[in-house]
Amino acid sequence: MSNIKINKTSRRDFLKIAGATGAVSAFAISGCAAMGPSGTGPRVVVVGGGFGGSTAARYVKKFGPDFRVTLIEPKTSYVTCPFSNPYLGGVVDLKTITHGYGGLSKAGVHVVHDMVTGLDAANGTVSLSSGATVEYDRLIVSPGIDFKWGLGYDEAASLISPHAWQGGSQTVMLKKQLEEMDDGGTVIICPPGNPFRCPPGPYERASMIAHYLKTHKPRSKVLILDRKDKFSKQGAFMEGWKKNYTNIEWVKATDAGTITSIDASTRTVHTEMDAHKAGVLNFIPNQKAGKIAHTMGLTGGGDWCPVDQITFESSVIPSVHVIGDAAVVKGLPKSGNAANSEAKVCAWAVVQLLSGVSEVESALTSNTCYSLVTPDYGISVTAVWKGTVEKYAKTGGGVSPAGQSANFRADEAKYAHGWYANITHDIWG
Amino acid sequence: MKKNLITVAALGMAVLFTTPAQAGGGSSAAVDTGNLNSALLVSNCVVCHGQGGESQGYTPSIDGLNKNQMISALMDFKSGNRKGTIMQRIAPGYTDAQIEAIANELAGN
Repeated sequence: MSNIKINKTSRRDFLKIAGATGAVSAFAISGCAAMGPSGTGPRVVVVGGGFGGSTAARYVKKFGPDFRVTLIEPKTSYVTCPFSNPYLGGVVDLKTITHGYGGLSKAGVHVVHDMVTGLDAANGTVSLSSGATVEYDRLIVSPGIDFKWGLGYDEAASLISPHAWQGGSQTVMLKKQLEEMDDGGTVIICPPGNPFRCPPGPYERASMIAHYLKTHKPRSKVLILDRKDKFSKQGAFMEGWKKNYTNIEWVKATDAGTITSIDASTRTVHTEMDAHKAGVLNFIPNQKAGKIAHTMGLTGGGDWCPVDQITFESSVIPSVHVIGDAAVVKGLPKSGNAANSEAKVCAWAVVQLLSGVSEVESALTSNTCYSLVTPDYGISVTAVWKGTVEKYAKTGGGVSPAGQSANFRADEAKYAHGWYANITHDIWG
Repeated sequence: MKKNLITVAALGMAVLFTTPAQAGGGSSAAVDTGNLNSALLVSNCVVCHGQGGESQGYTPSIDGLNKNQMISALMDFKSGNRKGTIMQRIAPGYTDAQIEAIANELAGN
């Protein structure tokens, strides 16, 4: 990486100059427009301010206090997918699941609200939609997910029948539709095929919507038309549903039949054997790495980003690291907690590599995932993994056992809230 | 960070100096020294128990425990002598040496 001159011009000054002269593109082309935090430490740029990226930015600064860390994220506030289901169920409000970037700024991270449009790996820069470029010594990208549109369900259809598998306006739209639905209407959830973000998520969503319906629309029900024959925490969910609900029906893929098309305007799911009309339709498409990963060429032509399992450095582009749902991390689920865990290991590796250590120690990662079946009935799955060059090998963990008392389930529900409060504080607090 | 770098070096890890441009390329040579990096180990705990073990929510705070209390609690969860909701599933994932490293980093702060 060329250690070219450090430009101490602040972003505001830069934009002022650029705006005054109209020379944004000239700056970018000349390749000398380096905006960012002052100092002389190594420059780490993080793209994406979700669970992975925000954690990585904070922990690079924590492990390397003299490092200059820039986080680039277009949104000024972030609505999380974790706990969006309790929001749909009326258990938490939107404010609880919305986080700003002030805490990261206070932690010494230079936060830039802009959209990354491209990568110039040869020169070690990323370009922004404002026209500016940002230089890095190492880049960490946390792209999140994008959707494989199809079966008649595309982005326009998602504005009629929301997938709500990215937090924000989609989540709010789904809640509004649930509230507007007639009592007696059916909410149809179509979970995606593997692999996808948050494996237990569709089933917690069914639970939280069933809770809302039980309270507000007792004649309505949730129908899950699955594209799989089994799912995460299945035994624990099924036990919880049996104890708490009569308004959830899960139909496995073999029985549901292949979904042949989705008509968002009439809220109809067509399968090879039937047509199901919904009061509210929540079709969750199959998934791939977020758009920026494809733009940057980090997928190597596939759906996801192959990475070194120890450092999370891209197998395609050197000095660029990929974490979170978009990365192929063998053994770990695509979850917010896993992204947080990967980000910490990656942050450590990046600080080591930029401090002259060429051989990075493998690390332990963990994932704790709670789901609310009802507001007072929680279930969990947890795991600890040891990193190896090939994969993450499980050393401990498991699903919360069956047949537990109401107190045990109430404790797990409370700890779900505890997990959310602490992990979001760890990231954005 | 410096403290941990020294720890890593003291564990017998080969520390080679190189420029950032030479490092990487998508093929790390992993070093396994028993995963005793206490900063990273503890970073797993804080997602539920809070930074420094000071919880922001229902999960118990663990910042008041001294080193022996923390080792004893984790070893009891690991052996199954103590039952919680989730810790007896998590604790067996850690070696005794890792549990001691966690207690060294987190306890008595």
